[in-house]
Amino acid sequence: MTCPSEVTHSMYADGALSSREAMLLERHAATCAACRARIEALREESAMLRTALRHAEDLAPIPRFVPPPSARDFVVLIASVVLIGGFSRAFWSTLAAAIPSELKWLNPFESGVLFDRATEIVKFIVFEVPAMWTDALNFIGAALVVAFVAWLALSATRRRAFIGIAASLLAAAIALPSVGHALEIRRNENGPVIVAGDETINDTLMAFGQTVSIDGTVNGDLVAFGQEVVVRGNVTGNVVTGAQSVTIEGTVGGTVLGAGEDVRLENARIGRDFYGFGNDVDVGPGANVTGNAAGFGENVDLDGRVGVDFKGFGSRVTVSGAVERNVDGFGQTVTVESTARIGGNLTGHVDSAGDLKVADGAVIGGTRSEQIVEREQRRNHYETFGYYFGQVIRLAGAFLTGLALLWLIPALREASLPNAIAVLRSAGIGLAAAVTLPVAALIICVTIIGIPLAVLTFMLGAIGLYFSKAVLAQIIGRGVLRNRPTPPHFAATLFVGLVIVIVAINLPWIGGFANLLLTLTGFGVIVSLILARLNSGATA
Amino acid sequence: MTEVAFAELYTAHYRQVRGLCRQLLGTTERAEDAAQESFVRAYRAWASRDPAQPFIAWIMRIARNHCLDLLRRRTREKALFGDEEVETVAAEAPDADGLGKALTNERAAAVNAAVAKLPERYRVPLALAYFGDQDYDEIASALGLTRNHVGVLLCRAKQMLRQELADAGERTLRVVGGRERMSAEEGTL
Repeated sequence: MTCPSEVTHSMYADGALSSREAMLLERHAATCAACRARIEALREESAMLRTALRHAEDLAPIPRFVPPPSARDFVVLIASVVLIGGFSRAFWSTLAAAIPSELKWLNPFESGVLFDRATEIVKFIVFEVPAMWTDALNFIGAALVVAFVAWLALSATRRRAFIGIAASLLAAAIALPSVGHALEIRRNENGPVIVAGDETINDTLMAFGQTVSIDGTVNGDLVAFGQEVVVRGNVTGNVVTGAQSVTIEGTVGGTVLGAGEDVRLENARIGRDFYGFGNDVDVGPGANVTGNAAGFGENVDLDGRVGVDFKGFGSRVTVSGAVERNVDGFGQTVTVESTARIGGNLTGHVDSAGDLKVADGAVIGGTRSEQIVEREQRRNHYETFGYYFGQVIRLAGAFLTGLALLWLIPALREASLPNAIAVLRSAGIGLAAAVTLPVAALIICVTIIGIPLAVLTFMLGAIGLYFSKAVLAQIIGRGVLRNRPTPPHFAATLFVGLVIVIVAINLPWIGGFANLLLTLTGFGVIVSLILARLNSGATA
Repeated sequence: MTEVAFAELYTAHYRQVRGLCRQLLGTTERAEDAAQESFVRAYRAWASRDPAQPFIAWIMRIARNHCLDLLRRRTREKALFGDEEVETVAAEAPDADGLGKALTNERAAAVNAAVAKLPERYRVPLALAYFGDQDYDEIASALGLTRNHVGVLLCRAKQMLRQELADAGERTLRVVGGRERMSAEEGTL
């Protein structure tokens, strides 16, 4: 008999042959010294392998066990979100107070007049619509959303998709109104949607039609969109509506938010607040708003009664009704008719003195004042000496700060954007990072030990965002001076770049946009640099 | 099952689990992730575990399956373990005589380095057999191969190891008489 194969020997040594095969091999080995030796060597080899493979493991340290995310982690996460949210608010306000005004333009959140106006309006809507979304609810709601995003990311890293899905379903169940049994949708794109006078709907009603007429009762909220929306009946909740013409004649228990060309309240009883956006916003003579009222439009008229404050934003703001507390009119002209009764203060935010007109006979319980909006001065600021002086001071401040930054972090001097694609990519990265960085910080926050790290991440992000324009200025400067025979000093390139950046962000109309774009691009450059560093560090 | 109690099991068995993962996956970094993941899976699935079975056997099986999943995700199974006949021919080719009858303890690092260099198709069954202490049938069913195919792969794996070790340090390779001798040397180190 010839000697069995190497594989057979190996399997025999490991005890893996069937009994018949093993018997055949043993019979052969009894007469073959070479095979006996070979089997013995293979057995020893297997034993050696077992020892050797285990040897390396006895020395390596054991990392801490990280249990999968639990409900407790989620509570910690929410608490962290709230903490960081509060911290960031405090951080920005402290930073804004601490930084000399010459450096304030570096702040990405500092920008032009138009933007200010827009944010003012947004702030007003967000923070002063207490009936629908109070500030606190907003904050907690946002915290929940962010926490769930973080939670999902966390679950994804654990490669357990179903937990993520369950979490998001739960989130949807908690965050959204229970859609199934509390929502009625009626739509008729080519005709009317009518809730007749004897009809009662015990749900939230969403109505979409050419015309929407609510004559009956809605025991819930009403969301209505169409060409014409008329509410003559009774809505116990809030009304959110958009139409060419919006008329409310009935009773609304909650807040009314109406947008359209014409938004008017006729004989309406509004349980809480009224916010109207339109060309003409009119609180008619018989209307009664228990809470606050605000109108945004070309013409804003208040003829009815407002239980608390009234704010009117428009070209012409007219008050002839009764306001229990303060009236603020923002407009070219603010007129108070003789029939008006104002319990508190009257303030007209107008273009020039005399644009707040108060007719004889009007009753004003508090003070009456005019605040001149410095629109004219703003318009002509390019002609004043002070403006240019201010820009020179800004340039000097930014130059010194940028110089310090580039001196401290030499890698930033070498950053470059070779082509348009790179610019776009950096802007994209900047935008993504500006959005995801806080989320990343939150994820780090999951462990208690991670919290200081998260705060640090957050602060670094804020600082990066703050200096991004200086970094970009350096790149622009290098681009401009690249044809010099000798490479210019970074101070020179920074200076040239800063001049260009300052001019760009002070351009009329597009300055605000340029500011945003430059900030995001610069931030993207910083983030890319850091990522490249981390990568090279990891592979080295 | 409290987190503390589980952490104790974790500390007791982590090295072994990571070892299997490292042998299977080839790098320490991936092994640490895989070991963590295996324990996380065990933690989650604690209720569904068979209490009659020792924890170590259970966690090692979880780790093995997880690592094989990771490997399969990268390579199709057929390609991963090759063709049995081709391997058999290769296994019968003449080769250096024995992986030393034994290797001393001080050569363990060299053996580990050589194992890490093996292609996956050889490293995986080798790790399961000699680190995971699984018999050929268990390995065959885990990898979806025949028992004979496992035998061929292991035989080839050891041939390659011998070759690699011979190339890497023939001069330092000390062939010693047997395990007794090896243990004696361990004592002197």
